Amino acid sequence: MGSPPKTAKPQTQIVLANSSTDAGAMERLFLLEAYTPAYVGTYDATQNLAAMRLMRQTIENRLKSPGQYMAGGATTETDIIELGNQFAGFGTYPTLDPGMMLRLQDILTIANNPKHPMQAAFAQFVNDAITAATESTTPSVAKYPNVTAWRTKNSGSPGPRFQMLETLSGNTFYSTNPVPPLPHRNAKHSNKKKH
Amino acid sequence: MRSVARFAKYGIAVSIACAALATACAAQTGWAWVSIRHVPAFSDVEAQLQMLVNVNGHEKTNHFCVIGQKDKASVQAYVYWPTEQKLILWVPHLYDDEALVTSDRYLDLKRDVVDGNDVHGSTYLVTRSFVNTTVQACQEHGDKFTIQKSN
Repeated sequence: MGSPPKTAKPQTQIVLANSSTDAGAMERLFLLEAYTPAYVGTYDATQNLAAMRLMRQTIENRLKSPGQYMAGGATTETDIIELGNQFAGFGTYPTLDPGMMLRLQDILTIANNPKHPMQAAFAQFVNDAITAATESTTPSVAKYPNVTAWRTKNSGSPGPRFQMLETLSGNTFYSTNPVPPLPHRNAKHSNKKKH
Repeated sequence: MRSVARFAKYGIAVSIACAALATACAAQTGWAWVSIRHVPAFSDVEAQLQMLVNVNGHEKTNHFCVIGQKDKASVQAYVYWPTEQKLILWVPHLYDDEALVTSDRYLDLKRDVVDGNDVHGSTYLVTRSFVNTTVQACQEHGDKFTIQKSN
């Protein structure tokens, strides 16, 4: 009798958090907004995770003052993602734009297909999205704690009150310029107070 | 991102010149409009357009203009589809024969364009100026296609 035949260790399926949770909404958003490992140009997994962390920090910063970002009344990360035409395909979340739903399914299919030549890279890609969506952000793990927006690179600014930070994984990230203090209604009175 | 092996042969970093578009290249800062004609990552352009028309097209005859956008790190393209009033970002990926159908920047020009210079923080809305500039660059330097719906 020979030794028993070796059997492949079953791989754990990578699944996203339920779409009804904030983590689930953010994981889906990050996967659809970042370059995937199959991008034919330069793909850097470390840069990609950094980009996803900037996306997470963007959501968290917007949640602190949602009215500034067309999401007045938002109380959750999901609200920030869904309201105000800010994130493509997520306006009727958890129903996604059909094309983007198809893309998401493809990403997960490759990540869970051990026979696919890019399975390992896609598995890391999905796991990085899960990490970015679920890790603590206090203190910030994002490269720019003040990040508040991103755009497809070379597609223009999110608006005149935004300041460009850096381009990572196909997106350019921005911070919001501080709102200048309103001039005091009575300048003389204001000056008097200083003396 | 269907598992289509024909993309595997392009598993190399895209490196292209300005494709004889010196004027377009010089006019931009940091990136340039380029023809996709000789860029391997876009060599399946007609198959991608055919897939797009068959899935999302409503008319029998469909006109397209495709223009590449290149910077020091990468190349992507915009597909202008006047027949359906769409402007679609094409980021080329391996194993992806539905890149246009599944694009995360599938812009409806009747809905996703704002006047002025402020998209109010949106990741995807674009200004009319951006659309006009892109379409004009495409008309001047891009590649034109006509695709018949086949299903």
